[in-house]
Amino acid sequence: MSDVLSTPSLWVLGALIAYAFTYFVYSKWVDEKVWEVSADRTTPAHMYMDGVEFFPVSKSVLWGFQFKSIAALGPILGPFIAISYGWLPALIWIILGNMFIGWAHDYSSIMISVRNEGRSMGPLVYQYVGGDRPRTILLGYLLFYLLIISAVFIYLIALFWNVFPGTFLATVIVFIAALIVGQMLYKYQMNVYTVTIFAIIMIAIAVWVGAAVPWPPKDFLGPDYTMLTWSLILAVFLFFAALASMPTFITPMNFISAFPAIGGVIILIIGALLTPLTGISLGQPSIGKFDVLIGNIGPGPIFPVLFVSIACGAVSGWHSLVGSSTTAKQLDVEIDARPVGAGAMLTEGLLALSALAAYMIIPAGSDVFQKGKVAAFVTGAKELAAAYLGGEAMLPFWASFFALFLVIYAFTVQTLVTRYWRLVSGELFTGSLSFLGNKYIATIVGLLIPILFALSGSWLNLWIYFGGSNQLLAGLALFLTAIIVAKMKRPSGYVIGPAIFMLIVTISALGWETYLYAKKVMSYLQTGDVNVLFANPPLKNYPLAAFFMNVVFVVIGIILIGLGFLMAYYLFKSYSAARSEE
Amino acid sequence: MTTLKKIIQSFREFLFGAFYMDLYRDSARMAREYKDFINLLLLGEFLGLPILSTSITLRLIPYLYGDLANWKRRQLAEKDVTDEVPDIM
Repeated sequence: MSDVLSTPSLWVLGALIAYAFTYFVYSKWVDEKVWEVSADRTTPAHMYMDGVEFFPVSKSVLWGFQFKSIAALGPILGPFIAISYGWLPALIWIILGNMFIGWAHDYSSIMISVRNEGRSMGPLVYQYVGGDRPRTILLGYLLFYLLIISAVFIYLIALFWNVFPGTFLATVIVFIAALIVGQMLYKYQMNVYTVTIFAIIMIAIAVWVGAAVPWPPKDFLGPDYTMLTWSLILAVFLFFAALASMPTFITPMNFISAFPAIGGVIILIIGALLTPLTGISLGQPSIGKFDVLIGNIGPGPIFPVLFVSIACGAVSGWHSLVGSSTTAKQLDVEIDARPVGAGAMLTEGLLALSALAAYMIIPAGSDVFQKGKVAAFVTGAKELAAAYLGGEAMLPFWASFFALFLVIYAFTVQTLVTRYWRLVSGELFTGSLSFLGNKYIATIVGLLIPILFALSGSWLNLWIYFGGSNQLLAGLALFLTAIIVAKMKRPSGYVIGPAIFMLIVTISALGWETYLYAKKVMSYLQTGDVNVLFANPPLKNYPLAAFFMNVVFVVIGIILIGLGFLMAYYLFKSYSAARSEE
Repeated sequence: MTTLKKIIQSFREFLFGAFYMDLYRDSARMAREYKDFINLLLLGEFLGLPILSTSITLRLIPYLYGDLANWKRRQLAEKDVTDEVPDIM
């Protein structure tokens, strides 16, 4: 028994039992008593069926689609920060976050859309929260959110290219494969399964090249300029990718990236569950320090940082946007909302636990947390995979695979974010600022600002800004649900409690990060020493620019908190009005 | 259908949803955009846009008829950027 206890599997299985309770008891109660779902009520998929946006599909297809839509790097990289506090707090947050907040958020965002003709978040906010102003606040909020998420992912891709030599070549092979797949699918209209086989072979070649040709070496342009160079190379790729027509690059890239991405996720989950048989045991301590600062940087105190560092694995605001804008339009019957919304989110929780397991098995005192930072994921994941797929001989292959897995995931996300930034810019900037909505200018702005952000902070700090904004969005979506449920005269406790918790946690986290940056700015003003600022090379060589960027982050923090408070005010007002309605 | 068959069927559907549904949706959306242009080109005259001769339009109407109601709804529907959010998280 003690052997089993010292592997991650028992904890993952424990979580599965908790999730089973959530799914079969708690979510069922909400489904039946709060929403009173009925198989007889017509869903938008039938009401407006057009075979493109609106069409009914089975719950298993939609579950797979929803899982693919919400499973990305959030639950994989987030636990890296959280494990600084020991794996137990992270595990508890992933389990409880999913049980009481995550599934409720995803399920409810589908339901509010299904009950409102398949409308997405923007129109729902307009309808229920009081017109144009809250909707514009939401858009403005999205714009800042996209900048921060871009900064995080641009930094991460550049970092992965740097710390995993060979990954860049592998990525280029995948790009070429995507271009060819686009031609095969849309120009030559080849059978999709033939194309699938071609894509999988190309990805296998990319992984092999990544392992066999570790070029260019780490820091090939020196510690000061390598990251900047990778960021700029990436920006060029992203510029063309985001501006190319959908069938040329984005659609085939999304298509082929799903194979290593979802494949990697499945390999990871199985690896974590098989640990009692494969003999991989826990290495990290269950409890760590609760107020962590690694050198000059670090996540900070466990409250509120833990709750925003693991965002998507426990609860994520972005899911409400995806759930309401796409999934809700394909729901066959209302009773499918629970298996799709709650089912996919709880599966995502399982993914977060498996990713956590990859960090849990790294031996205590290992230097990967200090040296390679996020590379720690690859260290753990390759062990989990090789233990049951190929043994030690396959370790280099799995290392290359999981490094490519991270890059492809991040790149696909970033292409979509850059493109979406352009769409939001076009919508938001009108009148004298309409030039900012021009597709070329918007794309350049949407890439250069994040690169500057990435150079001026560690990814830990950016991640907390990103997690904070993302979770705040979740709080707002839960609040919106509470308004709609209150209008229906049904009990709203299952969403209003989590909504208030998320607002407190996220505004505290954003406040913490703003305070950190403000502290750096004040220290610089007192000492004039650039080392007290958050700045990566080469920005560090230009003290005034570094100082300016730190001030910018203080301002962004204040704006995000301000927008969050403003939106919360409108939501609370509407919620009170909805409750007092006769 | 036996339970095992049901499980296998559900698993296959899950894989379809995870790997192919996005491709289907994106492709269908692109096809629809082209279709909307054709609709506008052919039926624009009915809306007051002098584009093609009515005789061609009338001959093509049987082919367009099936999608007319949806086309009208699409054109009149409110557009919002949150409709277009990508799957990133």
